[in-house]
This record gives sequence, structure tokens and C-alpha cells, in this order.
Amino acid sequence: MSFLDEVITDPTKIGPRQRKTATHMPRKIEFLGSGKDYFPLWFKNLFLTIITFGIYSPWAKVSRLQYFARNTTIDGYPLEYHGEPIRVLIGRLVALTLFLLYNIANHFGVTATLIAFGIFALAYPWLVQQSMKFRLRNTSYRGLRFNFSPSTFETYFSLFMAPVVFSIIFPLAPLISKFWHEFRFNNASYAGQRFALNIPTGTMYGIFFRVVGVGIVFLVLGFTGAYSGAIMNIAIAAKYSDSLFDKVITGILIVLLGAGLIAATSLTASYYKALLHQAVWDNASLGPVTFRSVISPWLFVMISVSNQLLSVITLGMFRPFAQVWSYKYRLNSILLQSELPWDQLVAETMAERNVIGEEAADLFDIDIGL
Amino acid sequence: MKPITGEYFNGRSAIPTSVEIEVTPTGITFHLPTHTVTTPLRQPGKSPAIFNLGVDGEVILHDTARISEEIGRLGISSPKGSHIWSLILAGTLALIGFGYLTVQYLVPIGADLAAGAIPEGLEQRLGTSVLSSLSARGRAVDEADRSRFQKISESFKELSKQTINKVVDPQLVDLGIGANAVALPGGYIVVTPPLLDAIADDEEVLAILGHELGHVVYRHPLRGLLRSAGISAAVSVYLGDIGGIVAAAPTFLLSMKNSREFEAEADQFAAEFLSCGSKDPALLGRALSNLESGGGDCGEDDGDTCSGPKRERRPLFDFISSHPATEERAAAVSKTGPLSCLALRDRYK
Repeated sequence: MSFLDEVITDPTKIGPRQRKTATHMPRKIEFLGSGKDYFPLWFKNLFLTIITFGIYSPWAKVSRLQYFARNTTIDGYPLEYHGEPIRVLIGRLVALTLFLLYNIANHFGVTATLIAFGIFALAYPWLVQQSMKFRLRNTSYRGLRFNFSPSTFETYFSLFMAPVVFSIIFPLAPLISKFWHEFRFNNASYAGQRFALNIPTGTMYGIFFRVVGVGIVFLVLGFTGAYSGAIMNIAIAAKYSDSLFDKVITGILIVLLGAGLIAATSLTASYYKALLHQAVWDNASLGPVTFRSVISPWLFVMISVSNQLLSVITLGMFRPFAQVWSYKYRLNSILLQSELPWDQLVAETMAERNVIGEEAADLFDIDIGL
Repeated sequence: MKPITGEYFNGRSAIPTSVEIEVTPTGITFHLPTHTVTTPLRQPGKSPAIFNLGVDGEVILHDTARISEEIGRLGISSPKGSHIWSLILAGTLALIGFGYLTVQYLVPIGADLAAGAIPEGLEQRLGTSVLSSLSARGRAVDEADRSRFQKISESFKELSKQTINKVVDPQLVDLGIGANAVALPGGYIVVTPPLLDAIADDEEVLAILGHELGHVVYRHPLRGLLRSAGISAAVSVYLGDIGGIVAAAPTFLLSMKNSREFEAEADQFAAEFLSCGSKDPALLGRALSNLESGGGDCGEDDGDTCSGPKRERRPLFDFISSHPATEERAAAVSKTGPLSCLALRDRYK
């Protein structure tokens, strides 16, 4: 455990070798929180959310984001989250209304359902964009807010057209993630500087093939497990046919098989997440600052799997620790590099900006995300 | 002693200004370049700590120990930490209690209120769509069954007019689910032909129809639907992180419990319905035993009458069953004394 703690805190220990391209010491993004001090907050949030039938959940969300922001430091300075719970509540109500309308429409035949689905599909990119905007505009670093300002076309292209078209033309599917992450980065800005991200198409296909390969291995393992389970069951059934014992064994096997398949899927998913993390941060920049990811995909898979197992075993009580572990490892494995000395960088690029325009609250400044 | 200093960011520039911080019994005061701001006293936690001053910007403190020291020197204790485990234990117990109250009382009451608010037209539509999807898989019904059912439903309609002042027209559809009778939202009653084969006595079939009419009168199908939806929503809120199979079990058990309550209510109605028609309430008990011995699979549809294959009295199975045990049901209905149609009409207005 202490080794894992150490690596999670300082991922450079086993991550890929760092390139020594930048002339100045890389600066770190560091998460200072721990499961131990997040747990009481998590529990309080869960408790109040349940006994208020979810009405407290926007307040819970804001306090959670505030905890994560305040414990995230970049070069020693923490982030701050300024979101107002009432805005989140409005967002939730909008989402709930849409959901209810969709459900009601379901009872009025196919045409009504299709119309409702169409409205939902059209509203979805706008709502997602709105909550991304909300999240970034309410996050500050050294007193300056981040911003997110995509055009309507970009929003609908990345969140609607690309996923729909590229899912149909299956070989283009890996590009969905590319466009999504580029949309996230290229429209985000800090102190008047835009983030920039261009993941090479080749990288996306590389990830795709590696993930498919790993997925196939896990599936084969899963099927072998299922097959031997079935053989075992037939053997047992032959011996104690129609006994309660047989039924119990079958039940256990079905549960184990289900758990195995879920595990295989989540292994593949976290492997994919880690590779994507690498691809995104290795190619992202903000003005003269470039980023670098030193995440180790298999270590991340290991962390995710132990998190899930422990969460199930502890009936969910490990969840806050799991969230912190996973977040901390991903965050701590991002390094910042710059060609400029840091003091000069701060003085030149983050100096006085007119950010009043960016602060003006949007009428629809709401958050629908969970 | 050296004053406590922090880095002040005014919200317009990322270059900080050094500001002095003072801890007083009334709060923490920040001496900003233009004015001072005081925030309520709080332990700053670990370094670096951020103090959000709203429109004035934010102050970052890299050495929080100094503030904690000052707070300690002023003799103000902070309630942090020590009671956390007892709070968590109390919280968990409170959650369990709250969960019990929710599924036992709040969800059923809420679902019943919601059912009351749903317009009959909507319920009717729901029923129609369920019925048409069921009928689509229906098989042909033979003529003998049809004419026998016609006769039974005539007397049923007559009796339903007398009891609830409303004519309900039952339908005979072969759903391929064995001997069964089902009440659907919107007041539809469907009987399957194998039920007619299993029960030779027309009056017993009438008793079964009376039971289904009970479901209709109490709006059981809709209420059951809403209760299950409410329970699964509540359970998923509670166990959201665990998901899947674990969450399905309590949902299933609670739905079955609701269903057993509904069955008992419908039985009671059937007994009174029979009594109004000057028939013996024990007919229902006999019909149920005949159904049991006549076999027939049980569907899980809300409001079905089928009691499943013959089974012994097994407490564990009662717990997971959608219907009360047949002997219990027969005993309960036979206790119903004679009741006039007028009294019944009053009750189910």
C-alpha cells in the first residue's frame, strides 16, 4: 500500500521516461486531498442528499467540487471553485423536466416518442456545453477564472454530428474521442490564452487497436471462465440433478460470470481511459506551457480495479477513497513544462487582463452534469 | 512577532500582492490594499489554504499553522475530527431508519397520491397499449370457450353494474401464459382460455372475475406500477453505487409485498361482490384451489389471479411470493358476512 501511495503521489517514479526538451524544471499539478479527509464530506453529502430526497444534491456537488479544486495545486497555488448551488439546482430541474417529458411521451405512441427523442438529442449538446462552460467559468487559479467559449457549430459537430456519423461509419469511431477532447481543450482558455490540443489521428488509431486487443484478451479469458463454469455445472447437475445444491451452484456461477464480465469491461475501460489521458496531455498546451503525462496505463488499471473491488466489498463505503485515489493519480501524473522561466511566464502571460467580459453571467448559466 | 501574511489576488491579475492577516475573536481580518475584509473564524486546514473573499478576490495562505496557532491562543476550540466515527455510525443508522420509512410508507403513499392525480384518460391509454401488445401475441380462442365466457361475462357485467355502478367488459384472450386472469390499468380485465378449462363451475369463474374487478376498483395495476417505480428509484438512490443484482433483490421483495397486499384487498372485494350477487363468498376459495390443482403457470403481471403450482405452506416462499397462500386466502374470504349491494355501492363510490 505504501508503494502504491508513493506512486500515486509521485507518478514520475514509474511512468514513462521524461523528455528533457523544456529548459526549465517541470512544474507539478498536485492533489493534496486524501480519502481520509474527503470521507466525512462525502458522507455528509450522501446523508443530506438522501434525507432531502435529492434537493440537497446541488449543494453537495458544489462542496465536492470545491474540495477537489482547493486541494488541487498547480505550482503550489490551489484552484478555487465558485459555482452557486442554486444554478446547479436550476440545471437539474431543466434536466428532470426533459426526462419527465420524454417519459410521458413514451406513453403516447411511436411518433410522440420519436419527436421527444429528437428534441432531447438536439438539446443535449447545448446542455453539455452549458455545463462545461459553467464548470470552467466558475473555476479560478491565482484569482483569474478559466473560460469556455465554443461556437454553436463546434458544439453540435463534436457532440452530435461526429458521434452519430462516425458511429455509423464504424472505422472512423476512434475520431469521436479525438474531436470531443479537442473540443474541450481548444475552446477553453485561461487568462486570455487558449488551450490548444491536436491529437494526431495515428495516435487515436494506435489507442483504438491496443484497446481492442486488450479487450479481446479479456473477453477470451471471460469466455474460458464461463465455459469451464458451464462444464462444471453440467457435471454437478448430473450428480445431484434437480437438487437445491445444483440451483445454488448455478446461481453462484451466474453471479461470478457476471462479475467476471463486468471486471473485463471495466479493465478495458480504464486501460482506454489511461491511454487517452496520455494522448490528451502529451499533446496539449496553453500558450508557452506544454503538458506531459507520465501516467502508467497498467498501474491505472490496477488502481481502478482495486477501487471497484474495495467499493463492492465495503458496500460503497470505499467510494470516496477510490475517487481520491484515481483522481490523485491522474492529476499528479500531469507535468507542466515551459521554455520561459516561471516568473517571467507568470509576469508576461498571466498579468493584468480585462476579464470582465468573461465574467458576465450567462442567463442560461446552469449546470446539468452530475 | 512577525505578522501573518498571505498572497492576495484581486481577480484581475495573476500577480499577487502581499497582505497582512489578523486573527481576532470575531473573525479573520485581511488587510487588502484598499480596505479590510473580515471572514468568520474557521480552521484553515492544511497548506496552502484559500480564503474566498467573494467580489474582493482571494487570499492564499502558504503557512496555515500560524492561523491555527492564533486561534488556539485565543482559546477558541474547533469541533473538528474527534466525533466523526460516532457521527457516521449515527448517520448510517438514521439512513437505515429513513430508508425503511421511505419504502414502507412514503413510496406507497406518494405512489397512491400520484395515481390519484393521473387522469383516467392517460391510464386508459396505458391500458389500451398494454392490451393491444398482449393481444398481438394472442392465439385463437375456440368457439365453445368463447360462448361459455360470453355467458359468464353477461352475469358479471350485470353484477358489476349493481356493485360499482359501472359496466366492466372482460375479454378472453389466449396469451400463452397458462390459466390466468389479469387486470390492466384503465379497467381492462383479461381472462385466458386455460382458466376456463381449469375451472368447470361458471360461478367460480365469476368469483375470479370479481377478484379482478377488485383490482380495477382499487386501481391496483396503476398503483402497483407507480409503487414499483418509486421503490426502484428509492433503492437505486440508496444503493446506486452498488447497482445491479444487489439492488434488484430488495426492489423485487418490496414489489412482491405490495402485490400480496393488493391480492388480499381484491379477495376481500370479490367476497363482497359475490355476497351482493347472493352467491357464496367461499366460491373464490374453491376457484383458487381448482386453479392450483388444475396447474397453470403464473405470470408476474400485476393483478393476476393464478396461484401457481400446488405448493406446501413454506414461510420462506411466502416472503418472495406475489400472492398470499391459497388456504389463507380461502379462509379470509369465507369470513365475509352477507353484505347488501347498496352498502357495497356506497363503499366503492
